[in-house]
Amino acid sequence: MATLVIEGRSWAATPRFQLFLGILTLTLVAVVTAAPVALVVVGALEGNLWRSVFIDSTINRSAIAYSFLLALRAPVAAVVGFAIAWLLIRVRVPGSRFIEFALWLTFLVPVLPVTLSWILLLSPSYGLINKIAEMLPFVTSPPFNIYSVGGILWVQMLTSSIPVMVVLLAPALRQLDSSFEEVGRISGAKPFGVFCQVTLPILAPAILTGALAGFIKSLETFEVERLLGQPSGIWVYSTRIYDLVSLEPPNFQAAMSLSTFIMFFLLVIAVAYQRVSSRFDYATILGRGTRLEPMQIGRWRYIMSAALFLLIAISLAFPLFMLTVGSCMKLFGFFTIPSPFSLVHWTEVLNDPLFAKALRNSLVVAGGAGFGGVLIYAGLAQIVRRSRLPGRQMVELLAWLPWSIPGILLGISMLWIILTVPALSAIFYGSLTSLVTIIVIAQMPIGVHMIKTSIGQISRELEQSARVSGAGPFSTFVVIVLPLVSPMLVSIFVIVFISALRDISTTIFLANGNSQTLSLLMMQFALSSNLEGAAVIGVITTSIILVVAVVARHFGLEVFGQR
Amino acid sequence: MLYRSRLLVTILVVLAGLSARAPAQVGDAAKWAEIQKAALAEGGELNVTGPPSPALRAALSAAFKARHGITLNYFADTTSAIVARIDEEFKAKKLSIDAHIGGMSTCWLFAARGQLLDINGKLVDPEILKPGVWRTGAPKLTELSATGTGPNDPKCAFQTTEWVYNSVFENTNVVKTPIKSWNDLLRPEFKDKIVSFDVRSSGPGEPPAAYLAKVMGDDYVKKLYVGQNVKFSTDSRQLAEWVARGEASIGIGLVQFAVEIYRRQGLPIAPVIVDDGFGGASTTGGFGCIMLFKNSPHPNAAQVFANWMGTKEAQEIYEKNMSEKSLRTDVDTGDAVPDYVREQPGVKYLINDYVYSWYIGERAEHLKVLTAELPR
Repeated sequence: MATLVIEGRSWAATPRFQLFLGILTLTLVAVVTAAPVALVVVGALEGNLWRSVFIDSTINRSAIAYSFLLALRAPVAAVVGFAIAWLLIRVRVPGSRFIEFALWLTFLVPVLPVTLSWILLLSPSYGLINKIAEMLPFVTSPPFNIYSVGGILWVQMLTSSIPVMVVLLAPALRQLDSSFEEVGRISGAKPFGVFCQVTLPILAPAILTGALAGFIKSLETFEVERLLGQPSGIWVYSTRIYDLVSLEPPNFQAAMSLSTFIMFFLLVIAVAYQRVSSRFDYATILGRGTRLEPMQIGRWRYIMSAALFLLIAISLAFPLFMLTVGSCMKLFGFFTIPSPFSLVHWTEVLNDPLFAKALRNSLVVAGGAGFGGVLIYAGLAQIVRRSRLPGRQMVELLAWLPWSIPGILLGISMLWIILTVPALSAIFYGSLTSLVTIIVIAQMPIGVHMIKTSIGQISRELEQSARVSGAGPFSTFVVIVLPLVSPMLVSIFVIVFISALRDISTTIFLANGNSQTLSLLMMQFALSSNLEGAAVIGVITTSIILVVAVVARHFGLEVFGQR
Repeated sequence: MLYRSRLLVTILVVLAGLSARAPAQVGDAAKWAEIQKAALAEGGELNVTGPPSPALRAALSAAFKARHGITLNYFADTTSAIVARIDEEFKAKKLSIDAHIGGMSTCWLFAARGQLLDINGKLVDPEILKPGVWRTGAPKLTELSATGTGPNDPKCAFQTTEWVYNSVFENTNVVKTPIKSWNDLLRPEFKDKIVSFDVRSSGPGEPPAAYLAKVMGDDYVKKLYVGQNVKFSTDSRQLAEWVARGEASIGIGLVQFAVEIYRRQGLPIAPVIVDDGFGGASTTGGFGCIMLFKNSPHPNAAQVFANWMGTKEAQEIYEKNMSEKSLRTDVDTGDAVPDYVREQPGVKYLINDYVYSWYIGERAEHLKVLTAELPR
């Protein structure tokens, strides 16, 4: 697509300044993304443990294999998530707003109590569903085993893979003008043909980015895998990393060696993604405005709506029930002990002298990372997608880097950097600023790439009109671009907020006694085998995220006129 | 004249020898007062790392502040994360932690890296040095090496607790025939029905494995862990729940603070106590060892803390919240410490896990033999 180059009148448009700005941006991004990764590579090279990590260790080899097997849920989740987002945004099935909100909520519920809830249902020995099934005359053994690859896939798909795809793809679908499909139908194409030749290519960048993000993140998840996989001898990459860094002393060099495999893999697919996504450059938000006409599918609307409500019941209602009820139980999941319910754990948590400080710290870190992150990601996305600054393609590649190493290795690398550089340690170490910074860095891949995709859906004529009218690049960005991509900004804000509120592995090395967060407090309860106390904090965290998500969606979309 | 000089020298040498054999911890009220004053002058704060127990953290912080007016910033975390953090801070010469409450494996690790202060001579509070206060006669200071057992040798940590790590449990509804010897664990009915804390990870899975290897031999341990297809987990609560629910018949390497959560609700999980003539399990100090770091930001406050952790007040808090038996003779929090972790009178316990030569030597060898048989 041709780009109209507006000659600026100021020094900011001069080639020299553009070069300076490009190099500055590239340098800053390279420092925050490449430096920690470089440290991991150096650590791996120094350890020289390649043989013991990859060749001598059967567990590590099978962990890598299992990781990729389990990561295949990402493309499946992308397809299912897309279909659900389609039904909610384009078809507008009955109850679509509630269902969309409920899927957001599914994504917000902490993983640990959800996993424990599914164990209560599907454990081969005492799972409720298995017990009921075994009452049937033709069932001779428990039909379900949560401690299996299938169990891990089930929990992950329901609780995070599918909901997060809906959260990421819904904004892209909101920005798809119906007229594109109308033109296809008017030209004689059948609905399926319109879908394949018009709709899918337009949405390909968003779907591709979401699927890739899901694939990479699925390699890093470990709570579910640890609880459900380890007892059956199923190791994955993330649990192996966790095992290696949990040794006394932690074996960081072996963990770093293991992580280089994923790093290499990510670099390859990031380059491939960059090449493929550049072929899809279709704007869906045009100068004449965006029109969303619901698609008509007849009575199928009601059937699809019912199916989605069933999905909500399975993926949200039960875990939320267990999380809330579990926090009010003497013993999580034990309903038959005398007086099973008690508020003693609520009292314990709320009276913990660290609770108020941890709550305040969490809100500061999450809010700071959310707002600051969104602004930084949007700025970088604009540079990558719309500017002609030198080095922007490298910035796009570098933005993937934080996901090439596990959060815990990112954390230890950042600790080393902060402690080594005197200026950094004076400002950052032990402060909430360091926690905000590392969260912003850790979420950069999804933030930059999803917002970049969203910006790509805006027709350039809109920005060009603003520039012709005399607006500078910054004003155009703030007044034209940001409002148009606000649905994605809100999604990214909430995702970063949730990540900050829940993060343990990335922030654990940078927090100290004064900067502890709710997630670290929850970890303390869980490690001391007080799951009920951890569930209390889970309820509190979910409630905070729920309020923030509602406010962010309502306020954010309202302000930018997207409602 | 020469005779008098020689006599004087001899007397001095004898006196020096006597003082060398004298205990290094001497109560000194004046010095204690001075250290407390210096601690407050450091800013009235102290940074301590320790086991991730919110209840312990809250209780210790409140009590220490009330007693000494010093704010205790207790950072609870996994041992491996604490070790990594302190190592990085030390290398950067920016240590922020003053003291650590933990186990001896951590103490020896810190000591090997030259990060610990010699705790010998740091205990000066007369109250904790009175005769009869400790089961061991005097405050127990753990050795830094196999040869450092003399009273004036540098010491690693101040060990305040000692208890029996009976870590094998059964579901009493599932296990009908009593387990009377370790060979009973090899019964066919227990195949695929035994769970254990992962012996390949640092943690509570190692002591019982090493104990059984010592007492029953390495072949027995292979038959048990490999032959019985033991299932591993690194989640103590999950392990205890599996046994309590009957998903597993036997659990090895379970910790009392996870087990008691179920026992106290009447669930059918009970310790397996085998009278094998060697005590049935090794003794340990658990997390109850206090260590002080070199170049810490608040060295006097750290010393006050170490002394305070030896008081009745602190030991009652620790024992109650960690279910680990204090070495103080005047501390007994009743049900907080289950019977199965208390040393029984008249029983001679063969292995103390917190002896350097055992821990670094034979114990490590037994574990190496076992882990070589497991997937790695």
